[in-house]
Amino acid sequence: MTANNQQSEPEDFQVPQKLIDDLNILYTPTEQAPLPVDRSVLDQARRHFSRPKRRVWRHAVRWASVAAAAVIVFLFVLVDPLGDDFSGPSQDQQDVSSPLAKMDREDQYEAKKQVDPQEPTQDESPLTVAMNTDHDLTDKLTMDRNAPLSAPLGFAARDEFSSMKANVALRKQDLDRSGRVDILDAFFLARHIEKQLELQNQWDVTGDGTIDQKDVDAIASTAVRVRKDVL
Amino acid sequence: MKILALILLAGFILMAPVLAAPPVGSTYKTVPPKVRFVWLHVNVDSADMPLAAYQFELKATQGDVTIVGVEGGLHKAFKKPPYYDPAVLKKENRIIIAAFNTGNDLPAGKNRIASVHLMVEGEIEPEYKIELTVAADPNGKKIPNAKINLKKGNTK
Repeated sequence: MTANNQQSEPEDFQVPQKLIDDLNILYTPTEQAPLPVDRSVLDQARRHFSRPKRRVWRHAVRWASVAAAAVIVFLFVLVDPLGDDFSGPSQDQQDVSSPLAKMDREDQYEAKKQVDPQEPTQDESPLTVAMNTDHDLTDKLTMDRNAPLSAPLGFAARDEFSSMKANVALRKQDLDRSGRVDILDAFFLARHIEKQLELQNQWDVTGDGTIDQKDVDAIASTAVRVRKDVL
Repeated sequence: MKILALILLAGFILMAPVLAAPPVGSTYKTVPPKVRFVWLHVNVDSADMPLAAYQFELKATQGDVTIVGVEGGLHKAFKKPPYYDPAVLKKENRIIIAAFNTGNDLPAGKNRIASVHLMVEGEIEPEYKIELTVAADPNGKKIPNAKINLKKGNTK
């Protein structure tokens, strides 16, 4: 047995021709595959081998979509639609009409229209107001009815609240009741403090419980503020 | 279809900055705008009345002007920097300036009460409008005949 294993193969090993012929007969296809079948097999093969690429492509699309969404969000944040620049009215004539005022304006306009259908649509309605944003504290509040109604109600309400707050603060600082906050109001308070004249609680414009130089400075700062509508 | 639209949108957004950028290696010559600095001395003439408080508004009506600084006047009653809105600095061409003094040593007649420093860009010679909002005596009474004027100069 061992001796048989150690036998080396003959150097002139050759396959017999008979065996070659038999194998050819056995494995040579007897007929060609139909063309559609051939194509189908090829298609399946291509699809199979192209799968990894498609997966990569899907990932690319997904990431590109995420990046696009991020860029869009970033641009929205950059533009800052809620910022000051978004508000239509200028600093000198800021619209502070409330949603309620707008509804009233619409309702009353409709009522007026029913009473007088000949009334032109471009009439001037005194029903809505725009607060003066200068330091003048007059109560003359005017705005035409063509004022923008497109702003979301939340913005209008916010504007109205901040404007009311500003107006109250401004009235508080108009110590000499001249109708506007100017340096004379600060001067008036400074003189009272320095000469130890009687002080009124309402002159505590900073609300810190004492009437001192801080209140004078606060009034003076209001007097020189260029953007009058911001406190 | 939606995917294609998304791809196009994303590609456009992502490639826009790249396409907008100048080609590599190209050189552009940028011409800096001509910038100079000027000052304005503000004088108030209160005639024979002592000036205890003032407020004025200054606005550049022509030219590309930016306010860069404010300082007090020459008289010691108004030597301290006056009140002004710091938010206007480097942003606005309009400023409101005011000051008061409750002391007894007050200027009368014509006095420099403040100086404003400005940056002027471009070739257009700026024009200014100044309005004296209020000038008052030590009792807080307005001085009706008070006048205000400007003196211009270039910072060297």
